[in-house]
Amino acid sequence: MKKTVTASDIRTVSFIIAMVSVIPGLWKGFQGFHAWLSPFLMLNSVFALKAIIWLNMAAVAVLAAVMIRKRWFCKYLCPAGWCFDKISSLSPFAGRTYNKLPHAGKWLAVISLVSALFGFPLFVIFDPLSLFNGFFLNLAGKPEPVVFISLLPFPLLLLMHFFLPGIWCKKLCPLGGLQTGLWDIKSHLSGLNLKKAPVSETELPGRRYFVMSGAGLLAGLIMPGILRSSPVKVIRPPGTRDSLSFNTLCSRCGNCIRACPTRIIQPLTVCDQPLAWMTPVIRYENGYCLETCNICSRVCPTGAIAFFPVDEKKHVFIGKAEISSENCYLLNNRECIKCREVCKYEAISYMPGTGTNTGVPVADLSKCVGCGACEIVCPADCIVVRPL
Amino acid sequence: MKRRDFVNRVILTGGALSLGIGCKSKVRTGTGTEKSMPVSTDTASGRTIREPEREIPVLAETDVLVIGGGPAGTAAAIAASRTGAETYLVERYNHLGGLWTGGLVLPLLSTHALDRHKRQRKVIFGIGEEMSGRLFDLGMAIHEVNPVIDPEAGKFVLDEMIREAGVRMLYHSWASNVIMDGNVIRGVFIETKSGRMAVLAKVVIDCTGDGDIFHLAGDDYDTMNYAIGLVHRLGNVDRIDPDKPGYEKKNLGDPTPLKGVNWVNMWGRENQDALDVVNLSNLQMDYRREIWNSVQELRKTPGHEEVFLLDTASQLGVRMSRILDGEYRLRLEDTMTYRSFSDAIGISGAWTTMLYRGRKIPASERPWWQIPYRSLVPRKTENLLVAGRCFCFEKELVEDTRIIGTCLVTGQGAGAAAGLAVREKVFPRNVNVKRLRDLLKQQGVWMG
Ligand SMILES: Cc1cc2nc3c(=O)[nH]c(=O)nc-3n(C[C@H](O)[C@H](O)[C@H](O)COP(=O)(O)OP(=O)(O)OC[C@H]3O[C@@H](n4cnc5c(N)ncnc54)[C@H](O)[C@@H]3O)c2cc1C
Ligand code: SF4
Ligand code: SF4
Repeated sequence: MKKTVTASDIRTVSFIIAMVSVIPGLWKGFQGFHAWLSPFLMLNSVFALKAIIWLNMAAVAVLAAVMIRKRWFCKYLCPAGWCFDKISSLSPFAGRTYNKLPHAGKWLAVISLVSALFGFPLFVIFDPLSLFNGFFLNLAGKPEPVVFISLLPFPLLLLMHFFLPGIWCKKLCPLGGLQTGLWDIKSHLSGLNLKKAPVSETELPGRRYFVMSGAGLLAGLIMPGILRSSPVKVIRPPGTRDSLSFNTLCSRCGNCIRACPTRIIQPLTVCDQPLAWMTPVIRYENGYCLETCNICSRVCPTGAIAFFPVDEKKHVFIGKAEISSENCYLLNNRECIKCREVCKYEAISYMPGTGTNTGVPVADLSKCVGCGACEIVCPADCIVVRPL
Repeated sequence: MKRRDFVNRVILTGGALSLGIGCKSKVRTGTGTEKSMPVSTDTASGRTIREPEREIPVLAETDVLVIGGGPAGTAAAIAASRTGAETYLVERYNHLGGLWTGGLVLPLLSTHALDRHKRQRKVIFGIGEEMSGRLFDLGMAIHEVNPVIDPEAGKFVLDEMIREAGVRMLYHSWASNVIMDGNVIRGVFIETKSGRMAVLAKVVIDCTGDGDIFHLAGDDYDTMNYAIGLVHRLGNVDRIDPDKPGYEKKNLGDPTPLKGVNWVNMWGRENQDALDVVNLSNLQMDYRREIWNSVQELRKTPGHEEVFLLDTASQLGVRMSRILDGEYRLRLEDTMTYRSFSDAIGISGAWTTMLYRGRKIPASERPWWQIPYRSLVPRKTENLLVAGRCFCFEKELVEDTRIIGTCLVTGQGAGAAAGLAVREKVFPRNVNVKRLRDLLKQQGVWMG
């Protein structure tokens, strides 16, 4: 008997690929690749940045498919949906309907996209692929207790599906909402043009969309103020555009954190920075930002970390080295030139010292990109890289 | 590949190659293959003088000839002699130990590293271990990890060990040229108070630190300018009175085994050419003045009146000059991954924090690393081996390869290999590495 491949089989394969792609460090540029397939993330990113890169084409293709088949992405690709459906099938409450509930996912989608036009996409963090990928965040780096709090959303959603089967995909998912919304518009338009049906037959969603857009607009206008009121002074991964929009543009998918070969990117978990919660920051403890690497900028699906070519690395400034030389070995007659030796940007030199000492290390800040190499190598803890 | 360009060469007379091996009489200078020692570029530009051809007495014919009596050369001579080979050791100054003793660079670094089970352990054994053990027995070494020794005790112990091993010592002898037969080295000319003399040998080991011999033999190498310093010692540092009004804490270097005596390192001026005699002379004088002034300054600081300048090092602190282009260039990666070589001649440890693939590897977590025999073998010259700070390695590794512990290991490896080559009548390049390793193990070397 010939067995036909069903949509659900394809989605299972997609789920497996998604699971493999979140193994830290292994897949280089394909780390968390599924996030690149989300039209929701793609549109938010394109609207916010007013720029498109070739990797966005993956989601553009998905978008086209979605216009041809209703919620094509959900049926064929979504690994999160796969998980939710598995749990839902175990639920004793199968067949529950949620007709009374508003379609929150649509709201999230529209508000987010409109606010994205102002540079501050509000709800990228609710993208199912971000939630899925973000859950695997702690696979990289040392797990901090607070990180676990942020790991809760996805398992909680899974648990929720035991009692409310299918709720996420039907009502909550902004990516689902986007797909449904687009389908609505398409059928509305085709209703208008082809069937010449009276407007009242297919319900015109215009008014509601208008309200949602208003909300998005408002958010887009208010966000900068809110963000500016609590600026975050941290070292961000190279290529990060501007600190203001970063907190909203970053979908917390953790791709960069898992991709970083030297494991210096960690989620921000300082409680007094709620808006920046779980965004990637750089901490130099045992690694530095490699001069030959741009992987974080290649795996970021929203463009929060903008792509840059490796050759440009010497122009991608992320911090500045601050040297306090009292304890420097050189000033204490001991053998060391480690900081200059490791600086790949030739930013460190030794100023002539007094007497028999060679000199005092100084960093040329026009060359120092803040890679942290000198900070971690210095045996006397003389150097700290500060945020710009 | 950057070769030094010696503008002013003293060209020696050409002439028929007459090597006089076997005839105890004389060797004629001025063979076609003879190369000159570097002469400073500060002399009148381009001018050369032709040295007249002359007959040179042969001082000795031996199995193994070691040039340079630093840590590497001393270990090499002892190891070679212990294989039963007749061994000569040539040193231009009046002491063994090179920079370790005469350079007052007292800490024997890189004695420890992490083993495969991630345990910190001692890695330097063999002759190096004998040396430090004897210094400990005399009470002339402190600290178990990376011991600091007393230089005079060091000179004495090394002399004693050379004597016991039956090595023939030639002090006050400066190797100035090589005797070549095609690409085979047959011996070395030395300048002495008795005039220029030749020492012929079956195998020559270059332990000059600066690679003088492989340079003269025409082998390929890299050069590396580095900081040159001058170490000094202070006496009476135990008589400092911190209660004196106006007392200030001063930088006084680090303790040595002698009470009240500290050694004070100097990184010195950067990017110095250690092969330029005028430069070396200028540095020597400037440093001496700087040290003198700084110690006078120190004595004026309340509480420090009794501190005095005990001595400045008799060898200028040259860290790097030439690096051999050998059969194998040891890589940073090799030293970070427990790479094992089938021709390993020993293991060295680590003393600095390094960055490897973007990650920090603190000194205390660095693996031990093996040194392959091929890194001591020049590519062109036969019967020549190289040990000490100028063997073949990647520049990234310089902080670990130029260190005394490593020099002791490469020295012993080269010495044993030379002895074996003589015994088996083969070029050192073709020594059976299995037998070499067995021999080294018998001599106490730890292979991991
Ligand atoms: C300032 C300074 C601080 C250092 N600090 C440390 C430290 O703390 N710990 C550590 O382990 N290492 C340290 N080092 C490095 C280490 O001391 C040297 O690299 C090591 O001693 C080299 O050993 P070697 O046998 O290869 O050469 P050397 O010690 O240089 O010995 C070479 C010998 O060969 C002789 N020689 C040279 N040319 C000729 C010739 N043409 N004819 C005859 N004889 C010749 C020389 O007189 C010398 O005795 C330091 C080096 C310097 C300069
Ligand atoms: S942080 Fe240090 S090593 Fe990195 S570029 Fe700046 S000075 Fe150089
Ligand atoms: S690495 Fe630290 S101790 Fe070494 S020279 Fe630089 S500042 Fe000084």
